[in-house]
Amino acid sequence: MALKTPEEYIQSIADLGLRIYIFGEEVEDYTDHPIIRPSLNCLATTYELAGMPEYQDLMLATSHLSGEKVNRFAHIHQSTEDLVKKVKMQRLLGQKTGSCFQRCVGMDALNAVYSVTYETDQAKGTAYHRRFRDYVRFVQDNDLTVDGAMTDPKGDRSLPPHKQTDPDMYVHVVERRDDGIVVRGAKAHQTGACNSHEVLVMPTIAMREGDEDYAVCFSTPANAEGIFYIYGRQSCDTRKLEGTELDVGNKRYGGQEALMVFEDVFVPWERVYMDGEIEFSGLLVERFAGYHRQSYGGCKVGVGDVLIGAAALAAEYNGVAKASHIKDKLVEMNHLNETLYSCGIACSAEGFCTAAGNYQSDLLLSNVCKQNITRFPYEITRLAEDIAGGLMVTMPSESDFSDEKLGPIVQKYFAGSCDAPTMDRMRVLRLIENLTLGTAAVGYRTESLHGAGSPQAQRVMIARQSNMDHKKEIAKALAGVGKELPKTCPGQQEIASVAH
Amino acid sequence: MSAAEGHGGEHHAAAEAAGGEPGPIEVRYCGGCNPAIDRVAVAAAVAEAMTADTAAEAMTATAANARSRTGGDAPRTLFLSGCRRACASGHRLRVEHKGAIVVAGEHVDALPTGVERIPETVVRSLVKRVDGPGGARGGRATGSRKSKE
Repeated sequence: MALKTPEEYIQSIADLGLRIYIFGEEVEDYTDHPIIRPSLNCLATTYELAGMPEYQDLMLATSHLSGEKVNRFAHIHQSTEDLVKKVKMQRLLGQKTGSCFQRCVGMDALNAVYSVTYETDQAKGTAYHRRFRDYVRFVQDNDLTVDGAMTDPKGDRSLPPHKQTDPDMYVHVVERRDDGIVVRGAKAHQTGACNSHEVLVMPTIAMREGDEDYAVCFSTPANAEGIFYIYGRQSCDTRKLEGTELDVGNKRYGGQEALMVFEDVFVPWERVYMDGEIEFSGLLVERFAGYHRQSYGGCKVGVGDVLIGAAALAAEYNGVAKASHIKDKLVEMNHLNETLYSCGIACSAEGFCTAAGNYQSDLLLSNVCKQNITRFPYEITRLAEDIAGGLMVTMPSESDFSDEKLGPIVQKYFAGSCDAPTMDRMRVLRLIENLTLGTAAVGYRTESLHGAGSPQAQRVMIARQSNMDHKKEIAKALAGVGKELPKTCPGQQEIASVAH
Repeated sequence: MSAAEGHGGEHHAAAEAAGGEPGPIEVRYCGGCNPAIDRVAVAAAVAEAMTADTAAEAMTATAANARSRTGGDAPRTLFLSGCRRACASGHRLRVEHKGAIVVAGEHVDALPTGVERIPETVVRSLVKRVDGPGGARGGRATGSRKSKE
């Protein structure tokens, strides 16, 4: 089947008739809602670039299931080259949108479930992998966007799922029938959920004895009966309702997060890929997290490229581009950004082939990548704000710039370098504001901190993967640990002979 | 298969077997994540720099395995990467096959080349490879259709 055009994609989302609530009301025409539409545009860009020859080397891949070219977001990675291209594709999209473009979670979920279903079948004699291959083929053939749904609300984090006061704090099976299961619960912080055709649900933690009903993995259409979405607020989101261009900073693109609620949703067995196999729930979390932590070495780097470019422009428009401290700050921003990229490339290049045949990013390096992501964007934004100056948070509104009487006044007083029109200076400053503390800061800063697991989660994985035994052995070997000292050391003999 | 995948020998043989007919040129783009040059503009400028009667037939821009109108692999491939990482040609700044030219950022076949000179350098390279060092055909190799008529 042919790849979708961006217009076909947007129409296909509109046709789903999703139940989306924002500011307390259900949205009828959600694809044209001014707060939602920028996030949809990001997804549409993943379709748009796939249709352009100059980007297809990254945007497309050859499906190992059909032999056809598919969007890389629906591809099961077949090599370390695929893993590297994934990161490069994500950097490209970050550059094009300056935003979280939301399709990565689904891609990472598809790849994690692919390998874990195989290994579950091998150990337990189940039939999950065949079902899942069929599902992947369905997604690829129809060029669908999948939302990877992992994070449960979790309630009291000190208690396991089955001991929560409210059993719905984690998505769980409430009924098993001959034809399928019924699930209840919610998934929080769901990036791009309202822009997806399908949802692939996974457990969010390693389940233990007693949590069997919570060790569940399944797919469902995004518009299945019983599913609805409550849209998440973002910093400065209502600026998108003002109809302005300047004040939003990035008019065309934006991110999206929602609470996805499952009210007794029926899932046929053909779409169930884990049901009670608690021993494999942790593996699924670990592999998904590995892929998604790898992803940040691409997407956040691309957005970082935009922010660095904006900071450099701000310096030019402010007339300070030649100052040595400005140059050095830009160098530091690039150093940090490329370090993140290096991590993304490294964990990809060091990937390994799973038993199922798809490639997984190196787990230690993926976690190192994400650990750096939890820190460096904060420093990059700090430097951008340093260069931009305070005007980015005090400048007047677009209405003032457009006003007959006020416009000339604000144009006069906010002129910077005479080489740049005042409005260009204002546009760049608003873009920096958008990225550092506006709607895009949700994706670039806080999501960098908590997305794909909070910082401590990576530290746990780094501790597990660091091979400390080997490190201790090599230190022992060089230090001579365990060796007896010689009875007389050569130096002592010489001193004795000199003394006599 | 592309020259970058180690099958350039097949392209070379095909060109010779056909009497060295220049044929279409396949453009293989990188993915564009770090463009130091405008790859699409370079491809268009190369096409424009060739003779008008063959430019339209000569350039087939695709990042996938393109097929020429003769039904076989294009005998010449322009690997067009936006930067020196040269992803379109497997990270090689130069591919040792007669039919392959590598543009990687401001480099043509590993030699530093200012962006404004890339199109003429590519075309000159193409002419040399089809006509040989003496320019046996005379004029541009890509004008062969008209010159034969």
